[in-house]
Amino acid sequence: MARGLLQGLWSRVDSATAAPGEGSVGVRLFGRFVPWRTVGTVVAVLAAFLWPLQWNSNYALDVGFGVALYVLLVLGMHLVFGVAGLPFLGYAGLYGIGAYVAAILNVHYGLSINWTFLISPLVVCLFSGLLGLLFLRLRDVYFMVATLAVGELVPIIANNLNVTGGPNGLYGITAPGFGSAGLTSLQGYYYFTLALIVVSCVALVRFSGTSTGISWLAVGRGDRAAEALGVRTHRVKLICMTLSGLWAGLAGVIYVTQLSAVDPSAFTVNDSILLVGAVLIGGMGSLGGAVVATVILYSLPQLVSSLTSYRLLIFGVAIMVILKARPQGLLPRKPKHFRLSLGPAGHEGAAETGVVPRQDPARTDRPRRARQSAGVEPVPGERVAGPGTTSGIGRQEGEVS
Amino acid sequence: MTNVEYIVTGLVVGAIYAMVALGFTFLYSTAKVLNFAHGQMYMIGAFVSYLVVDKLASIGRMGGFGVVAPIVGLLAAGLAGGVAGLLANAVVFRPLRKADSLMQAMSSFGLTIAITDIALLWAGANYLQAPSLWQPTGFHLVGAKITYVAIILITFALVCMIVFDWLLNRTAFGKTTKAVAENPTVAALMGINTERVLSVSFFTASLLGGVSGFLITYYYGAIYFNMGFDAAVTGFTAAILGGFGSVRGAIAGGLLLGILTSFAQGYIGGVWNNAVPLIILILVVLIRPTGLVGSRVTVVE
Repeated sequence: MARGLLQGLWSRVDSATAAPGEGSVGVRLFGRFVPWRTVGTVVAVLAAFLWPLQWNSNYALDVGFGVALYVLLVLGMHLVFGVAGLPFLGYAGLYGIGAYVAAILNVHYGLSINWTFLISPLVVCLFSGLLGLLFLRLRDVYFMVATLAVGELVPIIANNLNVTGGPNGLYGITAPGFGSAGLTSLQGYYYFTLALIVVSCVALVRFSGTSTGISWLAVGRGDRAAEALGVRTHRVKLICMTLSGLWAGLAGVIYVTQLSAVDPSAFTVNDSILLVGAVLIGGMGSLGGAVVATVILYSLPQLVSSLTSYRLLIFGVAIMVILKARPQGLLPRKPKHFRLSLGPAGHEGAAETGVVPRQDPARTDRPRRARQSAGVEPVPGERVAGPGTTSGIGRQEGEVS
Repeated sequence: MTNVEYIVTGLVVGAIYAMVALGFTFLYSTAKVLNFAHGQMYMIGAFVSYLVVDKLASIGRMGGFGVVAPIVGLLAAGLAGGVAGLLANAVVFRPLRKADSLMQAMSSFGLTIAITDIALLWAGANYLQAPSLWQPTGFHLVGAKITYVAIILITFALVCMIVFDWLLNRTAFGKTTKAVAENPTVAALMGINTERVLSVSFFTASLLGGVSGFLITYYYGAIYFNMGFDAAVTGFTAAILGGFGSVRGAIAGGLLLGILTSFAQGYIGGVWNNAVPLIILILVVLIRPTGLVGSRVTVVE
């Protein structure tokens, strides 16, 4: 019975979060049909902006800022693990590098902290790209363990160097700002982080709808298949790894400026595992899922104080349970159905069996209609994929432009 | 300390690394999984043996000649590790048998952090002092003091290696596990109870993990909550250094890693101690991913 109830719940969740035009449900607002997915997003963003006002306590703000920082981090993890399928367990190390670069430049070299908002993410991106160059030839488990080693090394190195201040870390980092307008209050940091998250999310969502974005998503689902369809998987993975450093670096700088201090204990491998786990729990390749999972898993133990010390236990069990009970994640990314121009539109069965010739790569006038939810409109020349559930995790999205 | 003493210390620590690596590699070559939670079996073995021996010491029944307590501790650690391995198999790997190896590895990471948190809740973040079982008596060889414990530990690891090598290569059990690793479906069609074979593999490998946890507890005399994670990293490094999937390679890798870390500790300083296995891991994976004795397989992309 419990299983039946759960399945009913999941089917509700799935239909409520379905892409528009694919049997999604919603409400009618001001004479327009609004799917639940949009409603949920708007409510979540509003709730995040109103959070400090709602509670008006320092503790709630503190929790909110901590969670926002992890949400910012999970955006990079979404790109590198959710999209490109790379279990990057050195990600917290990047976060640490971002924080330390900012702290060192500010404390030892007296550089204005404003500049580190540019320099730190840049340095982290370069480092992350270098790691990609070195490690991308390793297969999944080897990649995982090699990056884990890098992630473990970062706090050890920070612990033992003079320039990083050893176990005590660095302190006395100045606050960013221009003249009298600066980031000083916790509230300011919260809204700054939130703004970064919203901008990044919009950019990522817009990008994932483009044909390039869809081809990147295919890399994480099965890189051999993507390669066979003409996606340069190695390059995509390298770009994803490099770009993921952007969020790690930004989160590092924000962390270090807000605290005005940094020490090595903050960047453990556990955080990398938790972020990978959050992407997994939310659903591979699903940005909303990753964000929701991060918010739930990081805020719940903070808000319910009796759970605080069980944080890792809850996380570990959640990862195991999700992988078994709902391998596609809490809010899985919905595959869009691409249909062929061959045959009548809406004839999925015929289209699915059809063999699609690879398009001439030289053709540049490819219709950029991929993002128009091709379930309604046929997109000529696109590969066809149904919501097949092949082995491995989640729904396979075979579509590659 | 002299160089000979570094080598002996390295061999002892290396023997324990080798046993953890042996568990990793055994599971990889039978069940084709990377069980990162294998390090936790080591921790469970250490904690259980600590509890048992501590209990025995507190009721004053260490036994004649100090032999009973170590044997009881050893058995308890092995059994606890083995049972934990069976549970890990049932909870983590059996439900995901059809999923890809990455998801299995992720799930074992989930188990790892869950068990670590339980250990942290139970034992706190500090080291727990284990009652000493053995006197550091020994003999002198070319100016270096060599304890009997060291000799016992190294011998024990070598015996384990011989037993496992024999088990995998000379027995019917070894043949069936190899068949299951090669192709579970065909093995099942040949009348092999694949699930049972995998359970036995998990039990054996984890038993070894538990036993190595017992050994390290009474060699160093202390346990702490995160020892499983560290052991997993070093054990995996040793396994890769030797060539993943090879029993002899795991032993060779473990001993070599032990000697390298021992020298690094002596010459560079203890603070970088934890970094040595990690750096070796990265270098081996980048330069020679097949390890010392691993077969050269050309992967055709």
